[in-house]
Amino acid sequence: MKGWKLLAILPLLAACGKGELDGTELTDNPFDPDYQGPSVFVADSTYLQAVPIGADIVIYQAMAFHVREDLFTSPAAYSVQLRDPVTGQVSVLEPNPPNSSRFAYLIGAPQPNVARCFDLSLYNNLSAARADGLCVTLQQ
Amino acid sequence: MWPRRIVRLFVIGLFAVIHGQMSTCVSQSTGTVRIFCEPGGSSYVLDGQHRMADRELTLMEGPHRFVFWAPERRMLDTTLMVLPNTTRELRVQLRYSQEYIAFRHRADNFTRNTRWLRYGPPVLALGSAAWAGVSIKHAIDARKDLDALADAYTDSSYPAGIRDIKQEKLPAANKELRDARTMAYVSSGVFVASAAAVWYTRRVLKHRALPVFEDKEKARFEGLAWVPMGAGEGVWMAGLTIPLR
Repeated sequence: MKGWKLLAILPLLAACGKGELDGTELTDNPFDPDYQGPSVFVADSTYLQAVPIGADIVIYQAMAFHVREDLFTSPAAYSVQLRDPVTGQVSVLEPNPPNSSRFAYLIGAPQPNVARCFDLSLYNNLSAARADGLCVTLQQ
Repeated sequence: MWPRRIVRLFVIGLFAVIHGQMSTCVSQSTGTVRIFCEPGGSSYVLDGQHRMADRELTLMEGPHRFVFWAPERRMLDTTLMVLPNTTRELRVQLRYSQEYIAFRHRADNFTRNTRWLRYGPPVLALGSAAWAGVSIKHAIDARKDLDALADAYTDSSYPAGIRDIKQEKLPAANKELRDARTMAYVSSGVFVASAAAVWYTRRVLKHRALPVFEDKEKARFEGLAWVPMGAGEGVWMAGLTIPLR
């Protein structure tokens, strides 16, 4: 008799279970190209940095930013893809220092009081997540 | 006036003629009848008076009426000419009565339907239970697959992989779950219906009565025998059949 009751209850259990999963509702992973949460990139500072190249010293504008790993749904290793919307140049940045959430990008031809904007996205295995704009202005 | 001697001779002659006639009557011959009747348990009514089952009879010469009958069989009414000092064989095969053929048909239907009612619904219930069990497990597995995909989405740091999950794997898993659930509902419904059928047929079987054979030929046969009581009176023999269970 217990078996019959169990068989009668099983469909109810199956019916009470969760329904289908709507893919459009899955938007909380920052690595998702359709990510809907706040930007994971936070500009920390921008400054001039002298870089010796051969015998010369070249001055760059450094853009320091970090990634909000607290928004990640699970711990992950990653890179950051940076795209200059003006030139269309794309670069892949690694953490600096390694195994941290901090990044720095050197911008050639520093221009004081001019906002420099880039599209940043998390990057892994040759594919990029949602791009977020990040602007910095070098104060004179 | 006839002479007395002539009258005496006439009377003697008349007596002789009458005596001759009487002796002819007394010496009427008999014949023997051997009866071979199929089926063996048959009986018959002889000349509308005697109900008998004997297989060999000695009868006065002349026509004799036989009405044969056996349970479930049709009556056979025939007249046999008994010849003096002769043994005649009477071979009779009684055919099944229409009532019995109809009863047999009803009884066969009853047996067949009872068998279906007794074994059909339980077999159907067992089959649908197995089907429902497999379908429900399939639905549960499909739900687990979907949960695994949700976990994969959460744990993934590979944007192209996430896109693949959302655009390919998730719709496929949703369809799998939808189909599995539909199958689980249908099979569960069939199972519940078949379980109800088992319950209902058990109730029906409890009140289902086997068809009873009413042998009308027997009643007709038993009403044939007229038993003379003398002085022109007699009684009709009749039978009453009470089915005992």
